[in-house]
Amino acid sequence: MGVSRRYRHKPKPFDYSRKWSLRSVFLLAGLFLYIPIFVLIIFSFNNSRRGGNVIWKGFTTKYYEKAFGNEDLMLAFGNTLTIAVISTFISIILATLTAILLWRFRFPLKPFFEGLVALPIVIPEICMGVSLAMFFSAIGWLGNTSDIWPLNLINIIIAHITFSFPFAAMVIRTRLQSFNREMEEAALDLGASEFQVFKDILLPHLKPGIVAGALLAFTLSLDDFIVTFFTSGPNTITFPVKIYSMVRFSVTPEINAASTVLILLTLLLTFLALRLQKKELDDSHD
Amino acid sequence: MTDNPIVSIRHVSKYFGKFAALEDVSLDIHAGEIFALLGPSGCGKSTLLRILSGFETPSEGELLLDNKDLVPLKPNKRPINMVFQSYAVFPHMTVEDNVAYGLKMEGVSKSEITSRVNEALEQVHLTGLGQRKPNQLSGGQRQRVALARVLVKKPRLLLLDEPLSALDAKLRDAMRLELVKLQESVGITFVIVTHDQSEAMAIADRIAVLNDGKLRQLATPAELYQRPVDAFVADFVGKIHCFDVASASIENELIQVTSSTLPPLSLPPSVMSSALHSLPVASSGGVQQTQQSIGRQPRSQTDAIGRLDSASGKLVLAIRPEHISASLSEPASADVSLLGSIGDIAFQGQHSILEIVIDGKPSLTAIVENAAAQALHNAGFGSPVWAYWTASDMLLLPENASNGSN
Repeated sequence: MGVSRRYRHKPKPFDYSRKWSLRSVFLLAGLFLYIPIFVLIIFSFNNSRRGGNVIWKGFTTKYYEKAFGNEDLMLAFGNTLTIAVISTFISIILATLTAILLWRFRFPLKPFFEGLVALPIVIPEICMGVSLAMFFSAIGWLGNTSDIWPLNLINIIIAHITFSFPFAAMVIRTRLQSFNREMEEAALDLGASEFQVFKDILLPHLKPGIVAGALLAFTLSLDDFIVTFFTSGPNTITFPVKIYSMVRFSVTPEINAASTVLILLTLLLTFLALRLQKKELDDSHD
Repeated sequence: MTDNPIVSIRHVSKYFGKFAALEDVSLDIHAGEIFALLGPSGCGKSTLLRILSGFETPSEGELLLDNKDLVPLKPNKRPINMVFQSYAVFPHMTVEDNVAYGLKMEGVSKSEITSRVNEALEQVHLTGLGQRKPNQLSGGQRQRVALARVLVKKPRLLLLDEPLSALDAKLRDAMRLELVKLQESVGITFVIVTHDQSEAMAIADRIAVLNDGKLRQLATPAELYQRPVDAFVADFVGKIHCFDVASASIENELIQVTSSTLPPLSLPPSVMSSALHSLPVASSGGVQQTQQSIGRQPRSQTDAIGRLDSASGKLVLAIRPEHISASLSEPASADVSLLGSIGDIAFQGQHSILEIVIDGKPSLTAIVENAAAQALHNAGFGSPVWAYWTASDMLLLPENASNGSN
């Protein structure tokens, strides 16, 4: 009894969760991160004309109706999702091939190419935005590509691929490190061709990495503002750009409502991806 | 050795840059045998296995399977299959799918796959576990999956890379016997790579001992143990005590040996390593003479009288512990007897192992009967003891027969 009481009063060196000082730091960090988001969600239900109004005027869902009824906003939302889906799909193919290339083969200037792939991660987004805008204007694609949806989004899709595929390649590369090369040799030894080894052995192993990479690319594309802002034409508005233009006039709870929908969407996707990944990792656990 | 070899390895060398992983290795593997490649790590045994499986190409030399050139065939086209050291069982497939994979690649019909997979699972005692995923199996079971996966292909040659090293001791012993039984029942030629001499001795019909990329000796386990070609092989295949040789010469068909630690000895020619039979006998020259000087002045073997030259480095006299006897009183008639004191006595069940201390350091071990061990034990630690043996049980070996083989 005495021993257990002394233990309760004096946390041991690694009992971080039992030290009140560390607990309060943890709590403050949590509040700092999540209070703004919770406030945003709560005030999307505030029956007030101004979204920035911090006085609770009663519960309402009318701003959700309004947001969903806003054709421009819905068009922007549709554009954003379309761009995210297409750019993620292409990014993940490029990222998988790049990761395998860098992992599997030896060729001259390999460290240089490895750096080149990682570069878009560290380049300031504003620089990428400007350079892409100059590129598209030079080839005459800026603003007047096409009127047919979704061809009019091609600038933004290309731009999003350039910055999201290095992230996906990194994640897939990491997953490749845990691949047992003997597995590949075993499949070859059993009579498989190189392509069959890729399809039957390597790809299933990479699946969790590909899912994680896809999720990353998707969320990066979903909320990108800067690069999109520079590469979009006047008729191709995405969700973040639309929100920005709405905020410039007035902050209404409609924006809160639209943002809440976006948060829920990303949370749902993340949850699904994590579930899928956990299952895959359980299976491949040696 | 008269029947046709299934695999012929002829003068195979493999270089990685300047490093020679294999140097001029030639050996034949016969149909239906268990052939072991034995050696310490880095000796080239795994490289040889990878050359057989097709994952490495020999830098020089020929590789024949059933008298046909094997080198141009890719690994997936060779009728040779391998059990990998890590087993490399595919984690995302069920046991059944793992075993069926090789047959699917061959394009075997579905019904035949089912029956052959079931047969293979039965052979390795995994019936009923076909629907499991590898992460639901123990290490031993996973190895059986790896075995079934290659057995099902009915290869001409089955390669096993350190098959027992990842198993715990008890399972390892059981698996040894099982591998031998399995090989007998399926009749496929097995090539096993191992660094564990007891494993090789227990399983293999013939063993090739490799060191530093060279084939040191190719022999049956018994031959390897009783007639090792040099001190390296003798030491690698079991405990042996070596004594320096100061000089050795042949007189009247007996080998006269002097040593700094043993009395002068006359030994029958049978103690001589086969590597020494083929060596020139120099009429002069000391023990320190180097190999190069021999290369420059080759001598014929007819020069039978004279000093046994140290052509391949130094010579050693060696004796195995089971040939050493121990006595508390000086033995009346023994070819060799050394006085020491009793060290540790380790009880081993059917016998005991006695450590004999000479000049303050543990120098010899002898295998003694338990009754004798009891007497020695009663005499007490540090009591004087005589170690003695018959001279003809000794072996006269070069320390290093650079390329001796049968």
